[in-house]
Amino acid sequence: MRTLAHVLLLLGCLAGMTSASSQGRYMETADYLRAVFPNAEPMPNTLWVTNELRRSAEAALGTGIASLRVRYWQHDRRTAWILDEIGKEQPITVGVVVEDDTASMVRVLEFRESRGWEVRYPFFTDQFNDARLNAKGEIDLQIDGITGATLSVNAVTRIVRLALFLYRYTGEASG
Amino acid sequence: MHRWLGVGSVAFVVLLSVTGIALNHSSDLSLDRHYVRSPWLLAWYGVEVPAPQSSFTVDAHRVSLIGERLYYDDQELADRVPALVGAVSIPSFIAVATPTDVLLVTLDGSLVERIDTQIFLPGEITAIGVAGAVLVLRSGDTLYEADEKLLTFIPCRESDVGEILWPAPSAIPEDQLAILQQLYRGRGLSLERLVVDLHSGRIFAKIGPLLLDAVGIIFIALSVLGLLMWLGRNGRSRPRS
Repeated sequence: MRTLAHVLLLLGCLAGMTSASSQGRYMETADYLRAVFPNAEPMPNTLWVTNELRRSAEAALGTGIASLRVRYWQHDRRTAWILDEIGKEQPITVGVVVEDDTASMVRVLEFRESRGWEVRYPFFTDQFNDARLNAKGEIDLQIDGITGATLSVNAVTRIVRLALFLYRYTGEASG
Repeated sequence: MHRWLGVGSVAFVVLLSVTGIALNHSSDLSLDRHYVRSPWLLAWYGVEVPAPQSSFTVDAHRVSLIGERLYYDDQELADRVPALVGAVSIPSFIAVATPTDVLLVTLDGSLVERIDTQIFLPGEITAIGVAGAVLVLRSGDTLYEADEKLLTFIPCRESDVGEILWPAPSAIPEDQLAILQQLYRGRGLSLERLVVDLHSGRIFAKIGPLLLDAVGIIFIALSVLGLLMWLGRNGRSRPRS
């Protein structure tokens, strides 16, 4: 009887851990910006999505930009982008830092899908540190996927590519 | 017996094969992003339209929230919107407030930006207004004004910005409500859901899976009977050769 109770308790804990680990807001935007700019007050800025920029993004990344302007936060050459991308059905909100055409501090801020939430973990997001775009508009590093989370992996990768791409239009790009 | 079972199974073999292939390529076919429009199928699934939560008229345009979907006239502007606080006209744009965001929209309904206001405000937006050309938000007892480029919101007093006009909600006219309800129902049932239910039999409610179970048993019987018949025929033909 006691063994059965222990098993049920263990199963309950596992179920709780699973639900607690999946959907949800993992980090507030303000907390992310404080982590990105610990010693400075970043300035909000926006990039207007002109028809030319939209066409370039679609040609280079195969990704459309839904809104007419994209917000980013900046201090010196360091920029932070908070972008959404659909995984399977719901948008995933991701923060990306871009400085000198190089990505870092990729964080999943909010995950709304029922599967694929493993992309939130550093073992995945840290792979984007020092990533840059190559001539084909792809990330120049090998990014290992996660079994069962392909659509979420693709969505986060698209966001990082888009942030690197948009950075080029901010006037801070090195090339 | 075997022949008639085989003929009777053809439709099910085709159905299960086609739906199975479709589900294997669900993402490539974008089944989850296409929706069923057939009125009788939507009625069969019991897709119902919730009553509009609130609606505002701005510059001869209407902003409405039905369920969690936000509409600008007859265009869907955003999904997963918990509540509609209000909508006002400001120079060049229409500003729509939810408890946590301000959506800037052009007059033709294009989304300019969805501004997450939680970084500027300590709580949720409880009202949106306009003072002259200045966008004003209220959160709790505090007022916040937007800067000219609509980049930030800073605390202000009414005496700083002048008289603030707060919009009032209005009822949606019947003809516009009918259009919105049709739009809402149109996104209630994805093709992926329909194909999954066709494949599993759940489209026919509780009896569907049982029917598919019976079909599965018939398939097994056909396989075994076919094998036995083939073995029997080979057994009989061997002495002749």
